[in-house]
Amino acid sequence: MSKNKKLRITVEVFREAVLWIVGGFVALPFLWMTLGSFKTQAEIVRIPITFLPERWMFDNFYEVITLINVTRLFLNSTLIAVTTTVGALITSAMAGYAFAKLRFRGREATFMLIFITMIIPYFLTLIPSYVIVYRLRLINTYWAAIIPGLANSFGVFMMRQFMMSIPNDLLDAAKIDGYSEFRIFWEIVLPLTKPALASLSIFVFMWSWQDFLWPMLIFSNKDMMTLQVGINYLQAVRAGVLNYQYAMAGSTIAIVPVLLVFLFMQNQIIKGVTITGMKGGG
Amino acid sequence: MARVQLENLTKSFGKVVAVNSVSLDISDRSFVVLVGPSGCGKTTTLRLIAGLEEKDKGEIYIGDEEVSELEPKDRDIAMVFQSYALYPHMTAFDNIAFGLKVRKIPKDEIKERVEKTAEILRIENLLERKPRQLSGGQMQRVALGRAIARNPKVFLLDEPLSNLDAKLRVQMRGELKELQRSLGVTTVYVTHDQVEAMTLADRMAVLDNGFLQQYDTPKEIFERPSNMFTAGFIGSPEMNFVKCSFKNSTLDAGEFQLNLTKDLSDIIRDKASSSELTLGIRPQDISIGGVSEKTGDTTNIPAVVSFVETLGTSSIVHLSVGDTPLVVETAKFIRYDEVKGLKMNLKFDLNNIHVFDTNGDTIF
Repeated sequence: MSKNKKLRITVEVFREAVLWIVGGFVALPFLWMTLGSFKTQAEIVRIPITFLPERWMFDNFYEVITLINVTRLFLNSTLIAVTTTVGALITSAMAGYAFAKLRFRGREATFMLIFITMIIPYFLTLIPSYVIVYRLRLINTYWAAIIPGLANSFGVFMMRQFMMSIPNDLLDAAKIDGYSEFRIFWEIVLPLTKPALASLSIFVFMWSWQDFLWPMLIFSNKDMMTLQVGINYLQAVRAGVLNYQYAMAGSTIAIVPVLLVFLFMQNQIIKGVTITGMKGGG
Repeated sequence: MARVQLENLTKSFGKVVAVNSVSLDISDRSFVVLVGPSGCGKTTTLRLIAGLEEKDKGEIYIGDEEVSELEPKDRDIAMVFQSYALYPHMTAFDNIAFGLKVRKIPKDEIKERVEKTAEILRIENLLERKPRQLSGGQMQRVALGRAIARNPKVFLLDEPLSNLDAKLRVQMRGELKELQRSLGVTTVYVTHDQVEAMTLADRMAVLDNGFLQQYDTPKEIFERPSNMFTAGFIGSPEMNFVKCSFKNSTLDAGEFQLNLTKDLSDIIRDKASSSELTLGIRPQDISIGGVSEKTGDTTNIPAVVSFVETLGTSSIVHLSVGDTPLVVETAKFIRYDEVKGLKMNLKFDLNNIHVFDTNGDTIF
C-alpha cells in the first residue's frame, strides 16, 4: 500500500468517525425519548440508567390514547399547522412581491419595520398577543392559534429576497404581452418561486406543529388544544405523580408527521437550508 | 405599421432628468436607432414609448393615437430585451405564443402564427425546448419570435445583441436588418454601440444627458455632426480635437497653424462667438507622409510617433505634435518598432476639417 493511499484511508476513517459521533449526539435524545416511551416511570428515573427497556411497555401508548383524545388533538394540530402554512405562504408571497417588485412610497421604510420584527424574541410578543386574542374573545378557538401565524416576517423577508433575483425584464415583457399585475404575480413569478415556497412551507409547518408555548396559553379546553399541549398534560396526569413514560410516548406519536415530512421532502429541506442559511424547526 | 412621434418628452427620476424634452419623428416602416453613452436616456425613451415608464411631460403618438395614457398592452408594440426575458418555465413555443394567448386568439391561429414565425427565424426544431436548453443566439431568436408573432405596429428593441459574442452579433445584425426590411415594421432600436447604430439605422438619434443631440441619417451624422459630442461619439477611433484660436484666416493651435480658404474663414467670422475655437479632424482625414525633414511648411505638420496599433487591414498611429496628441488611421501596414520615436509629416485634409464654437456647436 502506498503512503498516499494510507493517508487517504486515514482521512476517510477520521471523517466517518466525526460524522458518527456528531450524528450520535444529535440522535441520542431522540433515541432516549423513543426507547423511554416503552419503559416504566421507575425505569426512566432509575440510576444507573438502562438504555433498552427491561420490558417493552406497549401499554404506554394505549394509556396515552385513553388519557387524552389523541385523534382529536392530532387533527387540531394538523388543521392549525396546515392553515397557518397556507396562509403564511399566501401573505409572504404577496408581500414579498410588493416589496421586491412594486414601486410605492415608503416601501423601504415599511420593509425595514417588518424586518426589525424578526429580531424581537418570540417570548416578548406572547403577552401582547395574548391580550389582543383575549380582547377579541378568541381564547379557546382555532383562530387564536392560526391568526398570529398568518403573517410571518421571516417569510416576507425570504420571499422578497428570492423574488428580487427574478429579472424585471421578465415582468416588463409580461406587461407588454398583456398580463395584469396579479396574473404576472400568479403565472410568472409564483412558478419561478417554487423552490422558495416549498422551503418556506416546510419551515412554517414545522414551527407551527412544534409550537407549545402559545397553544398552551390560549387553549384550556381539552378538545381544542394541540398535541403538544396535550403531551404536557400527560406528564402530570395521575395525581401529581410525574409520568414521563406517557409524555415520551405522546411525543413519539407527535413526531411522526414531522418525520414523514422530513423523509419525503429531504431534498427540499436541504435546498431550503442552503437558500436561507437557516435550519427548519426551532 | 405606424409612424411614431415623440413631442417634448420629459421624464425625471428624482432630481435626475433622464429624458429632457425629446422630440422625434419616426416615419412608418423605418428603422431608427437611439444611440448614446450609458445614462444618456435612450433606454428610458424606449421604455416611455413602451409604456413601462410614465412620462412627466410631452406626448407620444403611435399612428395617429396619443398613447401616453394607455397601458403597454394597449399600445400594440412588442419589445425585445437585452436579457431576452424568456419565461424560464415555458417552452420556446409557449414563449412565442404567450402574447397571443393573452389576446385570446384562437388556438389554431396561434399554432399557425408561431410556426410561421419559427420558420422565418429558422428555429422550428427548437420549439419544444425550455430557455435553459437554448444557446444565447437561439434565445435571441425566440425573443425576436415573440415580438414578430404578435405582428405589432412597432418593434422596440433594447440592446438585443449585446449579450451575444462578437461573431454572432455581426451575423444577427445582418439578419435583423434584413428581417426588418421584409416585415416592414417600424422599429426603434437602442444601443450604445455606434457601429451597430451606423450599420442598422435608417436614421439615428444621438442622445446625451437626456438631450437629443442630433437626429439624421448615419452618413449625415458622420459627415456633418451638429456638435462636438456627436462628432466625438460617432466614428472610431474618436475624432481628434485641438484647441486653437482664429486670426487672419489662420487657425493657430500653438504647435501648428492651418491656413483656411476664404470661404471657410468667412463662415467662422460670420458664426463664431469668439476667436477661441476647437478644431476637429477624424483620424481617417490625416495622412502620414515620409519622415519629416523640412520645417516652416504649414500644411506639413511634424509629429512624433508615440504608439501604433496594427490591426491588419489598417494601423492606428498615436502621435504628438508638441504636447498635442493626435490619432491617425492609415491603410498602410505600420509596425511600431520600425517607427518608434520617429518624426513624421502629417497632412490634414482641409476639406474634411470641422470647427466648433466655444459652446461645442458646430461652425462647419
